[in-house]
Amino acid sequence: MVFIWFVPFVFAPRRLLSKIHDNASAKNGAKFIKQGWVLQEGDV
Amino acid sequence: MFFDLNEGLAGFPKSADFCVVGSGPAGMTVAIELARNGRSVILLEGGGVNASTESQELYKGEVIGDHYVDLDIARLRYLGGTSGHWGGWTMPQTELSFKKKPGFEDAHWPIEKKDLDPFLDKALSILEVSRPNSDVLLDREFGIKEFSISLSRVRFGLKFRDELSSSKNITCVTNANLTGLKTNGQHVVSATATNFAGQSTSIKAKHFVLALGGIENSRMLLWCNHQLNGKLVDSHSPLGRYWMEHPGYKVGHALVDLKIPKTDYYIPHLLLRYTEEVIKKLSILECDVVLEEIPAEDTKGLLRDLICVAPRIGEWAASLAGKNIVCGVSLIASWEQEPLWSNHVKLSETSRDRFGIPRVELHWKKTDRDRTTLQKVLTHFNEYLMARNRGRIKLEEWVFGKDGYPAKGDDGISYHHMGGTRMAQSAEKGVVDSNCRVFGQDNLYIAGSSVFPNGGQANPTLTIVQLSLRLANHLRQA
Repeated sequence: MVFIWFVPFVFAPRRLLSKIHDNASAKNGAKFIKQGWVLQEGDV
Repeated sequence: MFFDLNEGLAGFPKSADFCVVGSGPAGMTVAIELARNGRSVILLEGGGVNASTESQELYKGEVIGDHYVDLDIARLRYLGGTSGHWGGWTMPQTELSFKKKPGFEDAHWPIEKKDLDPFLDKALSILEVSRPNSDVLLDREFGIKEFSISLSRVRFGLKFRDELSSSKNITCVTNANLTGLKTNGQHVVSATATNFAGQSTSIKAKHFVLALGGIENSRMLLWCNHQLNGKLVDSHSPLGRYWMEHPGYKVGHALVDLKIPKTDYYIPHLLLRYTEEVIKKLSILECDVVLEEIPAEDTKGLLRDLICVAPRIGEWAASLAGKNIVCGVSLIASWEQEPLWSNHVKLSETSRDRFGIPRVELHWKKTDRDRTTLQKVLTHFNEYLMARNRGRIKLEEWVFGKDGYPAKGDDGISYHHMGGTRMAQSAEKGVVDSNCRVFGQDNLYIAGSSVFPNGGQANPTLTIVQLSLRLANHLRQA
């Protein structure tokens, strides 16, 4: 379901991106980083 | 004709129509082109026909700011210049490079791409390559294009050595180090060339072209201007300022369902860049993402890692890998820097070379904008992979960190030295005009990537050769 990610990740504030990377397994709704992998819900 | 200034100051002409200083891709192209058109040229090369320690030592300097390699290994100082070890990647500048970009008002050329296009085929022929294939649009919505390069194996010193020997119009003087210029105010009268024994001679010409490289053009202009109490370069000109590189890093790995083209010159790799629309939308400058295929064993390791972290997507990737659809790649990103006043070439106040000329002090620091660019570039690429079910990326931890870049070896370094004597419409904005003439002198010109007002996305050598052909064409009519 591609369209549910309508709010592009690209526009996520940098501060937020840094934050989710700092917390390696923290989820940010649609997309999150786990052990370096950039993933989305349904991947795990 | 070749003369070695180390063997004496006499026995060769001391005046000509043109004096070109530096025999790298820029200087050699200008000199050869003028000589082929019947003009007399004295080509001064600071080093010898072959590399030497004593010449290379003159390139030592200090970098203040971000990690960089030693400046005496980042460039070569002998016949043919740094083309003696360049990578050969050849591609023209994009249309976008010549346009004004919102938020980066100073990062554009005062000329148009169509001003360089007439010199493209000849430049490609000098580099002995064909025109790279046109970009292929891979995804319209995400504005992702595959681009191509051509690989040149030309070493300018080797290519033109015989012609320099046999040409009646060129006198190539090796071990002839530029140590000064004389001007009567608006007109350069002579250049001083000094051998490694410290003996000097004066060279007169109607026109002078400095083609010393992307750092030395600034350094020598700063030095000569200092010697002449500021009478060489317009006092408003930002001499030495807006120096740029193409920062580039291995940023991680990916498992992708993309066709990675094979080439005969490098490991299989896919070259990607974004459309003008996406670059504008992201408010970044130009950039590229390179996907380099990794060995099968490493791909298996990457798959195992993904299965462990994210079993569902990992198993999907493994099933496709079994059909040779998904492959593992290294991700490399590089980008054009914003031209900044603070990034500059300066004369050292504490260290001088054997000729008493201050060594270079290169002030170079990436900014938040560099990091934002990298993050936006990768985030957009990830968006594309996820939306199209084309794979997943695994990023190095530093990429989305707040500060710090890898700082070993040539991490982040492309050896592309640009800016410092940039081209502009006025002396307030640049050092040379649209014909590469130094503001303040009517017969002093600069050739090479130091005139670039922006970095663009292309490797610079083809543009350097195009600009040099254009300059030679202009000088023929002078």
